[in-house]
Amino acid sequence: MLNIKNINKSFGGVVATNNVSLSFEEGSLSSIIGPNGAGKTTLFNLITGKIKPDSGEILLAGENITNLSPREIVLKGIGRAFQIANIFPTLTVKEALMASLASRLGISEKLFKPFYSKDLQNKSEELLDTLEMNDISDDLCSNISHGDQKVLDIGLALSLEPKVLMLDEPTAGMGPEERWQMVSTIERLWKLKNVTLIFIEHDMDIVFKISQKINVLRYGSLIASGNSSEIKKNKEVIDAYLGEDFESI
Amino acid sequence: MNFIKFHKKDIYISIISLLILISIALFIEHPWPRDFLVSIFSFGLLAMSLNMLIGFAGMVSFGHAAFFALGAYAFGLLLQNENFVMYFGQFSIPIAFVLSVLITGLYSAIIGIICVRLNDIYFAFLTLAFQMFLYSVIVSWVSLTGGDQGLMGGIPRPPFLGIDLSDSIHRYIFCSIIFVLCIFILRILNKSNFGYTLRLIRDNSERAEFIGIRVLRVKLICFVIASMMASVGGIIMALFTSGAYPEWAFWTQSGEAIFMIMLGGVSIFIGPLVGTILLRSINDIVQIYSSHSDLVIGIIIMIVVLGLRKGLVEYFLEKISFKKK
Amino acid sequence: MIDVDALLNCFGVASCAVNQLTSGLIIGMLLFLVASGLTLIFGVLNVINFAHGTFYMLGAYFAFSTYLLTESYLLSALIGALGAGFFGILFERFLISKVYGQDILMQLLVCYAFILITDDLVKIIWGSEYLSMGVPDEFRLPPFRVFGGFVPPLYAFLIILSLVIGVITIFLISKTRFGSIVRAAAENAKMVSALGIRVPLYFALLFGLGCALAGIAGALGAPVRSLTPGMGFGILIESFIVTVIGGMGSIPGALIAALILGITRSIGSVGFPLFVDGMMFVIMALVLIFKPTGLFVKGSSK
Repeated sequence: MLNIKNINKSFGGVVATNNVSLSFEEGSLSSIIGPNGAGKTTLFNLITGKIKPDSGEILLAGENITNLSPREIVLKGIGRAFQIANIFPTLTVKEALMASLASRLGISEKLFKPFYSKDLQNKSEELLDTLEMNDISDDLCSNISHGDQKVLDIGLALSLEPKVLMLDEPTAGMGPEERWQMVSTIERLWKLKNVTLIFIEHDMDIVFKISQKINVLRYGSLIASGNSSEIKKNKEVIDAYLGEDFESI
Repeated sequence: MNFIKFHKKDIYISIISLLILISIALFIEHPWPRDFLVSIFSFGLLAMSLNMLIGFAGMVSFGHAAFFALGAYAFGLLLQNENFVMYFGQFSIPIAFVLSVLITGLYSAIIGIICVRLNDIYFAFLTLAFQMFLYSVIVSWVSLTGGDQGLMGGIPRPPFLGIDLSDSIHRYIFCSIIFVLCIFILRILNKSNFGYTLRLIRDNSERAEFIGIRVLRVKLICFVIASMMASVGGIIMALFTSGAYPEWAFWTQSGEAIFMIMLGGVSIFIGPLVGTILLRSINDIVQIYSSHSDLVIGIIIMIVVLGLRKGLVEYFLEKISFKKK
Repeated sequence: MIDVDALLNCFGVASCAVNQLTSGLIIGMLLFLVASGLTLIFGVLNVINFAHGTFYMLGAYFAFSTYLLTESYLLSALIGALGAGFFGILFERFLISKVYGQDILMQLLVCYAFILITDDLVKIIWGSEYLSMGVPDEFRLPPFRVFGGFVPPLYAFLIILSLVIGVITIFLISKTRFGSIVRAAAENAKMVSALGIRVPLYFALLFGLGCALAGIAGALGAPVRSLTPGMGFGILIESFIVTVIGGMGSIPGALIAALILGITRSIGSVGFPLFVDGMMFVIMALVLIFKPTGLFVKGSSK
């Protein structure tokens, strides 16, 4: 579904992404891990068009999207949720989803079309069902809990019916209980929507539990790629990232 | 039909407001209420359209009065042109009206293309700079605009469709209709898909980009519409005073409009209009008692901004809701 | 639109060209002082001082009154700078610092109100007529002859002094302890105040310095300009254009941009008098379209 070929990016002499090639199968659930500064978020920014690579190619379902704008990439089908929940504070949850759906339907610039139309409302209610957020649909986005904001952020990405869904540290800043709740939400949405899901995560328990494929970055380079048991056995990964604590995981 | 059903309440409110405004003209002979109201129509449109930028879209413009002034000057200059009036005859006024709004739209599109890409501080200062550019053109191009003195010699107002705008009652009713219509249009825009897209951009323009919004394009459209609305306010003023004056393009006019919005509160749709009425009244009262009205208004602004930290209307609404609790 | 003959006539004759260039340099250097204050405040505090022109006006009026009393131009300039700086500190402490971090609407309104109040106070104290200081006695000397043109000593003095003040300012910000504290506080105010440094005091001093630069420009220019309430606003817009062209936060950028504008103005007054303001805006618009960060700054204005 998504193929990354020999991507390079450096910022003023500092190499952030070093000749990375990766592929993500359609409908798969993969994770990207690596120590801080390994270039995980940079890779996300490259894929979603927020920054442009110095060289290399990014293909979505065979189509080259390397030089498209973030907006065009979104419309091609790559949705993204952010490390810090990135929402619209003065809108209600439902309004935020409706506005996002309007964008998906290509009617967000209609000057005189009433926003509270039956169509948008029905669609947003479906989405609220999927996200299990019905009970807070009329709360302002800024007033809902941190965990709910993260789910809403994913919901905004999902409203665009993406082929690929990219989540940047979906459990960041959450307590243990909230984390596992989030993990089950992610798994549920992944199965339900049948998307290709890629996420960045620090919590190894979560990574090993749900990823079909794990990609390990270090200093901008891809050092390993495989399923949980392969990664656990990989010498380089153990040395570089997992350290001595690894056996206990 | 859906459209009418959806906006039923707003349509009723508009019709009732219009009837009240018209009855004022029919039942009160003294010109004072009409004169006061026409100035509210005019400056109210300036403030309401500025709030479309500031309140809806979060684009703080410090140069909005430029478009007010441009509308007024374009309208006046077109009608003062003998060939124009000869050619269009009794349709001169409606055509000049539409043309002036379009000219303003075009001008604002050029300014907008340069300005909407910039961050908020730059945007505020740049819109201000371009307003002062227009001001300096008006003041220095004396042969066309009359310079400091303003557009002199009166603006001809040939009757059309039985409406004679040189008659003060006709003019008042005409302005009322235009005003209510414009406010209604702003209301529809506020509740439309476009209006909510503006809220997305105001709240978080980066995220808006990532759900597929063309942020710059939407901002530009908003800028142009708001400018055209402001030009209608200017045209009403030009009709009322039968002239146009460079003060309208001066920066203080924009500062005043921003304060009107602040007084009424950005979060309430009709707030800027309330702010306009408040500020015009304060202005009129201060001018009776003091020859230094700028000083007094300046102090009032400081008190409201640094003391209340929010609009008067919002302040009182909060007081009331606290008491209820 | 452009009077080519007048331009050729002037620049074909050395004396006329020299006169125009000198007046261009004067306009440019005074503008540079005002703009460097504006850009300094923005660079450190990330606030655009929309009331900056007011301090230019205050500097001019303080200098005017001092000159009436003492007949010393240098003392007048000093008082103009100190007075403007003092009021700048008051303005920062009691008014504008109250709305730091709030949305720009509040900052705009505070500045708007401040301009209304000071302009009216100046009108009450000094009257609304144009005032003129005239060339001070110290400088009633025969002009220098340069390439057949005449350069009054006052003009030469103004140009050199402005340049010196600009250099001192750059030195103050980049090489002294004051400068390094202020720059560090701009990066991370919490960190610096954790070191026991009173950050608000330094911010106020920096704001005062920026206003003093505007004030000294007003004071130095008093003999060659006429004074009127509201005189600050035009120079505010021009110094903003300078900072856009030169790049927000860059003092050397401000110098070059101010000279470009000054020369444009003086040439324009011969060649295209009606279009002088327009020309400045055209230059600014071109910079904004092709290099929105300004000519001399890396980074982003978006």
